[in-house]
Amino acid sequence: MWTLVLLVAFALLGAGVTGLLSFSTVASADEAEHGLACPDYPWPHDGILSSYDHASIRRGHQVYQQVCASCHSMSLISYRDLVGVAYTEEEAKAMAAEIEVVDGPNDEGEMFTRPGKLSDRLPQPYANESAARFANGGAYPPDLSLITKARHNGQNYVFALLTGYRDPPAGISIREGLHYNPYFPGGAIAMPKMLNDEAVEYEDGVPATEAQMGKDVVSFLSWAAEPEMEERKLMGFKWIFLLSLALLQAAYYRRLKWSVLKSRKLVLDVVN
Amino acid sequence: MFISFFKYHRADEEVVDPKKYLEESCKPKCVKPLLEYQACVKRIQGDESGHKHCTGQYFDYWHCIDKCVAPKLFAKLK
Repeated sequence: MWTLVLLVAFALLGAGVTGLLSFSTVASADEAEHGLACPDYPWPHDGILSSYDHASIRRGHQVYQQVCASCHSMSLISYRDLVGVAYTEEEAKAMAAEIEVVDGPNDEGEMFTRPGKLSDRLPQPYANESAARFANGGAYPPDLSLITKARHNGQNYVFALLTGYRDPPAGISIREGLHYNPYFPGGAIAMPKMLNDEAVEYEDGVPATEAQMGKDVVSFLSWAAEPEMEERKLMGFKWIFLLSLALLQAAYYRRLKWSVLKSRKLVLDVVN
Repeated sequence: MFISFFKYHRADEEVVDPKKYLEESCKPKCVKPLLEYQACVKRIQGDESGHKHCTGQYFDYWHCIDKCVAPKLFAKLK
């Protein structure tokens, strides 16, 4: 019986040791699996009362349009959303008019194409997900309307990813068709490096370095995912202030009403 | 700061990406992880199995560089 106990104990010990050994190799696989943790950048719109940098949003939209829109849709954003944020109404109307939109059916029951209007969504590069995958080696370029909310630490992650294309570490080889990016979970991403110095010529003359384009496009994507941010911060500040005043008033009133009970005297009579 | 911004773009000069520039200038701060990575590269040089890699040391190095670059980068951008 004791030999049995000893055998079981040794087996468990062995299993434990193997477990520990295998854990160490799993840990290093985990690192690449989760991707390199991205740093926190000091976004100008991060503060409790900070608004977006609208000039940056305008440049970022230009980067999106010229660099990203050929593969990534932003199907939740309409041209009219850009008015007052990045473009004037006339500019947005002119941009919309450059695209062709399928509309209809008309009175004859046929679909027809017309130039875009403010109410139209931004154009989609592919008809559907299958077409997108087919054109990109099986990988689907995700819709970017909510991407900074759809990824953990989205803004910093997207910036780090776009500007983080590097040579892989020694011992890692990426297959043909994929590219190495340490921030991407697993390390092998289908998208090639898209931001290269001076890929875009900014209207306002700002030098279009890779980091500049990355910052601007992430500002644009942050706005696209959270257009209500400025109003939300203003409302938040206003209501937290007002509710703190209300709290002080409520505390005073409660203590006032309770003072009657809190200042009463209780006498315990001795029974003789 | 103002002067260095002009250094990045004159009509006749190539633009220098501020992030690359800062990554280079942060290298001295991250010598230790860099040396660890280079030691690892040397260690696995003769490896035939294809299972050995230096991802851990690579990540440690770039994490150090990122932490150094991130607070300074946006000051160099518009």
